[in-house]
Amino acid sequence: MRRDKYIFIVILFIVIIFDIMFITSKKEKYSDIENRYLSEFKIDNITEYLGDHFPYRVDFIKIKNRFSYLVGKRYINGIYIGKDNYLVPEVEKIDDDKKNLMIKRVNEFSSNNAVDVMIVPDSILINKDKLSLTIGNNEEDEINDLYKSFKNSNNINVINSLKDSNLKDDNMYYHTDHHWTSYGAYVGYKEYMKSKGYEYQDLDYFKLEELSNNFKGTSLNKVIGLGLEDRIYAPSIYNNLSVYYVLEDKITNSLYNLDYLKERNQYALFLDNNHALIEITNNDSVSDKEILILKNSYANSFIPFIVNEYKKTYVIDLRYYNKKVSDYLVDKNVDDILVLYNLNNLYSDTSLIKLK
Amino acid sequence: MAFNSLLFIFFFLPIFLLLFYVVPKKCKIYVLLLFSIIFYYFSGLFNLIILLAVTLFNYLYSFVINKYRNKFVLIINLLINLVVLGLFKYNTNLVLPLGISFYTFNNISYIVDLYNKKCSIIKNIFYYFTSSMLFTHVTMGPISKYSDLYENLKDFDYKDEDIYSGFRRFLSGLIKKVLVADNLGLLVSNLGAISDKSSLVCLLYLVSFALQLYIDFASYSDMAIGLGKMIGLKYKENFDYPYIAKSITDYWRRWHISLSTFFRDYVYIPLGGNRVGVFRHIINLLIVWCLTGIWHGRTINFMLWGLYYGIILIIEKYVLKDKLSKLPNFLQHIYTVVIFLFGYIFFSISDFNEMGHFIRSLFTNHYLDSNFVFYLKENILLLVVGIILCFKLPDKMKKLLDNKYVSILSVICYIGLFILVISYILGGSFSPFLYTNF
Repeated sequence: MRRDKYIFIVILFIVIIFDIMFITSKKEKYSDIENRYLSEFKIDNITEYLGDHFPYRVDFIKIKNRFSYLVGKRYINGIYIGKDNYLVPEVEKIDDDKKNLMIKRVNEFSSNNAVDVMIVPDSILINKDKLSLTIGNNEEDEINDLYKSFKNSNNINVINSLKDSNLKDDNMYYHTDHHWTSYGAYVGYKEYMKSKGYEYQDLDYFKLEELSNNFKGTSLNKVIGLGLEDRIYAPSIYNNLSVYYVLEDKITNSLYNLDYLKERNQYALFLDNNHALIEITNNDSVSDKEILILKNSYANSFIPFIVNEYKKTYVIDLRYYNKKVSDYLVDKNVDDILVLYNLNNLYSDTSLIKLK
Repeated sequence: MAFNSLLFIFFFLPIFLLLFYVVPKKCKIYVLLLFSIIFYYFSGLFNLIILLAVTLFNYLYSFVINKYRNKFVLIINLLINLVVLGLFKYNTNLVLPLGISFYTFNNISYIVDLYNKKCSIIKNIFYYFTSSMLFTHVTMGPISKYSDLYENLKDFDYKDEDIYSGFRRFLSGLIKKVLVADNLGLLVSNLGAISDKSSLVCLLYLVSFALQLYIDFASYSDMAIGLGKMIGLKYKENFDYPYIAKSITDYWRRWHISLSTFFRDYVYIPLGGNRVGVFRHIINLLIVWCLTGIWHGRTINFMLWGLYYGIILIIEKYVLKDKLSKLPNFLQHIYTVVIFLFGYIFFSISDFNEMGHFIRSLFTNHYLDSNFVFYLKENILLLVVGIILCFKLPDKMKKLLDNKYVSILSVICYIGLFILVISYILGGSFSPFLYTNF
């Protein structure tokens, strides 16, 4: 049949064109969308090599994602695609043994120290109204259960105020990333201050400034071709800061490393991505108090609010910090200790198990 | 190397076809042999050595069989072949060489036919090795008779139309595999991972699994048959719309035909087939179906699955007889669907506790849950397409293609779908074929 002949000829043509492009193209070494090195040529991994270096690879994957969306998929590669271009990551499960160990460690630590705990819900809970259907999402119950198990600490619930603020302003979470925005982090700050009985500042006080208008977050990386770009805002009121990255022995005067604006993961501009130990001194602070924050990356956009209140802010990331926190505290004059994690990463990285 | 890999589509196949078509007829066999070795090499050097060894053994043995034609000599050969197959297949410490269940059966079929003087000996070592190692069927069949293939390999009789229509057949298999079967596979694994399944989730799981298994395997057969056609090999059809069968007897005439034929010709009939007493016939059926089950996998549930079909076929033959065919058509279809869907419980779940749990959930958990609604809504189009693919296209639809515009539209669709296939392969929905594990 003539039809079959045309199909054969056109596809043969396409194949040859792509072969020529593949052979002649310059091979990239790194894919920043996937955050990994692309494979190098070896006869054994020729399949991966071809996939990694195929001409217009990213555009093809965009076609795939857009087609999936077109045929009604709203859950692609672990991302729920909601209304208003919200890309919401699914939540991880944790096995009970790890969870119980984590609870035990928090309880032990908080029986020896006065500890505040803030477990931040994820976009999937707060943006529930944007999603038609989700599965396995019971973050609210999970956080409440955790709080019941954390017996010795002051547990700060931010779910309701995040929900309320989101209903009003619809900006608690990035559209394309799993983190909360600085607006979300401000709500966290406010709830923390209220819970401690301290006076908090209005949002206007912090003079949020736009640092980026083309932020493409981790969720977008998983479903490239869908969704829009985000803007990053951050407080811009500090003139007298010293930020000391202890293990790297590096001092700067800003909470933001704007070099990251040139990279894919712009959220990393907050506190220069993740470090084991940071000591921040604010000579213009409201009080002379000191705080220790045990945290994951959710705190990175929270800290630009809290440093306003404390002369010294010590920041420990247990994913990278391998010593005893209690030893670190011995020669410090810390007034408050805050454990700040978002639920999903608390469960997926389980670094809180290292708390001693 | 899988047919649905970039390596195959963009490099192996075009280079092979180019060489194959330009060399003189008497050299084509060497091109085919060379490329079959390259093709199989990509599944591992060790696997290639096993394949070469099995082929060489049977090639040499064929001279012995041809000379002596002695039952004892035949049995020695069968034992060796089956022990090697069994060793790899049922020893969980060893990696299963790709396609060993298929090429061992091909070789056995040749030896037995030679013994029975149903075919003549293939003396040329190149022809024998090519028949055994042909990349078109080495990994997943169809299980073929070398005597038929040998005739094809001698004259490579193909016309230009065969190239084009064979390619279209390959392409439509590729499209079904990548866009439909692999996505159904994702759905199946998502549904399988749900810990508390409702009846509806269980049902959706079985339907998705049935669709995936059929479309995955039938699309592979489409690719193999299409590729064969492009180079003058005439494979027999392996599937004939099994899910529209009206009884389980009918179903097995339509499902994986080359395997059923193998068991019929080399087990069932030698045992006496149905020309024996009732009791013996029942035993024969049970033996055949037990073996069919075992062939499908290394876990015990496959034997259960085989016996399940054995028993149902006995019931159809001796209890239901022609009562079934007197029922209204739609009831016959429903009966068949229910039987094979239920059968997939034994096929797809190897752990017996899990299997029991699944059956309990299927019959007792009557409630509408969010998992069911979610996965149904997410995959409704996929499921509809999958179900449509189980039906034969009416001839009227085929006639539509005589219209020039419809024909042009179909060319455009194929090209669009090909681009989608590439994007899905690149998008990481790459998954090896299900049946290569057997």
